[in-house]
Amino acid sequence: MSDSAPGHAPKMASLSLSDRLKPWLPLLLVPVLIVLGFFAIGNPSSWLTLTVSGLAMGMMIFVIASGMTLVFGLMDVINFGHGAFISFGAFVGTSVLLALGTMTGVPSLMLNLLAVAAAVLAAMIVTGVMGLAFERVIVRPVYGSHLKQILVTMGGLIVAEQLIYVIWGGHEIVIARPETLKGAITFAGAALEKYRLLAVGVGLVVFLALRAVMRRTKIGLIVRAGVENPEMVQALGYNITRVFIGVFIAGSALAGLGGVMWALYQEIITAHMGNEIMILVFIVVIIGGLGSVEGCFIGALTVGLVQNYAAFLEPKLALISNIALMVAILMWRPMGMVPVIKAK
Amino acid sequence: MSDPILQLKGVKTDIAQYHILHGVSFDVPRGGVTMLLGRNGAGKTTTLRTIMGLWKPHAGEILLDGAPINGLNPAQIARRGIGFVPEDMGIFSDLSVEENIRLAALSGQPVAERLDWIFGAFPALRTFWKSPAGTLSGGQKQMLSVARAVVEDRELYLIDEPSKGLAPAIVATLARALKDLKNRGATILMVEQNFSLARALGDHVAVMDDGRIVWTGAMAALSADTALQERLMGLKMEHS
Repeated sequence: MSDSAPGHAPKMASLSLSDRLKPWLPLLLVPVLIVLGFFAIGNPSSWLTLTVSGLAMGMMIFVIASGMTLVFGLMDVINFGHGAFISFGAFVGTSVLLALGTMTGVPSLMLNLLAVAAAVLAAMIVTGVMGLAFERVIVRPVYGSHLKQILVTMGGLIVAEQLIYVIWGGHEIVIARPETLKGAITFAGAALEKYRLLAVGVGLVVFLALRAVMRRTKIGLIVRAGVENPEMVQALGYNITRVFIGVFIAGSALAGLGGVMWALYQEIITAHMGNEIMILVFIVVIIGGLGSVEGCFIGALTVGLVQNYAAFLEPKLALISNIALMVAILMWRPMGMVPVIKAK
Repeated sequence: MSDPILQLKGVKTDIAQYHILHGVSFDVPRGGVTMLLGRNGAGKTTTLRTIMGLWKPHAGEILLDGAPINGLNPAQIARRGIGFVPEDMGIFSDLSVEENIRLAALSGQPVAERLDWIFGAFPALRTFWKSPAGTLSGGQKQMLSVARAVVEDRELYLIDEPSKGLAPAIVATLARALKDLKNRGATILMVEQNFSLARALGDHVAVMDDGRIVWTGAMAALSADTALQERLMGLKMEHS
């Protein structure tokens, strides 16, 4: 064989404009939906209120779903028990807020936010530790078997709900928002709830932080590579099991954060609240693309907006609006809006 | 033969209910290229994957520098100093070329001198440094796969059929890079079906058939003996 190689001039097939735009189309979905909502609703103030409400709901679902999509993408684990972390986060956070009643009951933004931060921290620590135990005891023995995963994680969810009954009792708990987060501000004739604006801000911060970790750090690089081909990540020298445990803990803690946010949004909590939200979470994870944080974000905002617009325009339609949305998106993009390529 | 860097002793591997390796034993000498040859289905890829810890052997021993590695997971084996280029290339399509390379640099950032060598051997990787690896051609992906394995010095490189499905021009580029790597003192265990490439690069040979090693020796000896080639691998070819 000759030592000298013929010139191998690198070149890439030139893509058409539509091919270049294709990956970016899902990004347009949210603004397009907002514009369509404007024309469908007609009244600008109602539209603005509903849009903020939809975005707030979407952000909370994103916070809850982001960990789950990574867990599914990274280790192919379907965790029906994810709802347990939402419920536990809500109960722990609510307990902290009730204990800090002197801080939440005064009209001081600083004290109110400190109390909420303490509740969030406690909820995330408890659900993070719970996530570690859940992975070790329930998930680890059933790697590779979806049917077993569904059965045992649903069992784990039931056990967790029963634990809530044991610890906090079987009744609903009403939780009032801190004083400065009550009520609404008026903007352009629209009433915008203060808490929903805060939820939009928190969701955005979580998304940007997650994106920064995933795009700019070595651990993010390992997780992104692991979602695509965990075996090769191992062969490069990274212990994927440890990475997975870390992602599971972080995902559980984020669900706990989402639980606190959801509790303050609904102002009432029950042991099965996490289980109820899981339908929306599954829709978001599926339409976003399994394992994609960006897809999860777009999917969550889309679900939040569609739910709110549909509830205003045709309340009966709201019941099926998100299922219809999922069907439509999967017909458009069967692998979700931002599909992650998996190694065969 | 110099002291072996890798030794396989009676390695047996099953995949599901199938017995694939039936007691594989051979040594890989330090320095140079050892070719693992054999017909399709002989167990060559399974041997490399077993060394890498991606399949667990149920019997036998694998020694790297005299220390057993067959109980370790793939990450531990990689950190003992083995670089791996799998048959399917194992490229992360959603990551850029740069990110693929950066991920393989266990010590942090790739060393500039080594990157220069990679860009010299594979200019396409410099051109598409920021592009998603999934948009590369098959040949460019193979270059990336090799570059990723050699971005840092390793004790041993396991390379599985680097020429598979590639155009002759790209195979020649890869061959030149691997020869250069060998000249720098690297030890390579390589599976290859392209006997011309194997002959050009190989110093030592282990031939497999039906999950066993059936012949080991110098590449020069195998190259010179067409009858032996035909008996071991069913090859009938003219010497170039």
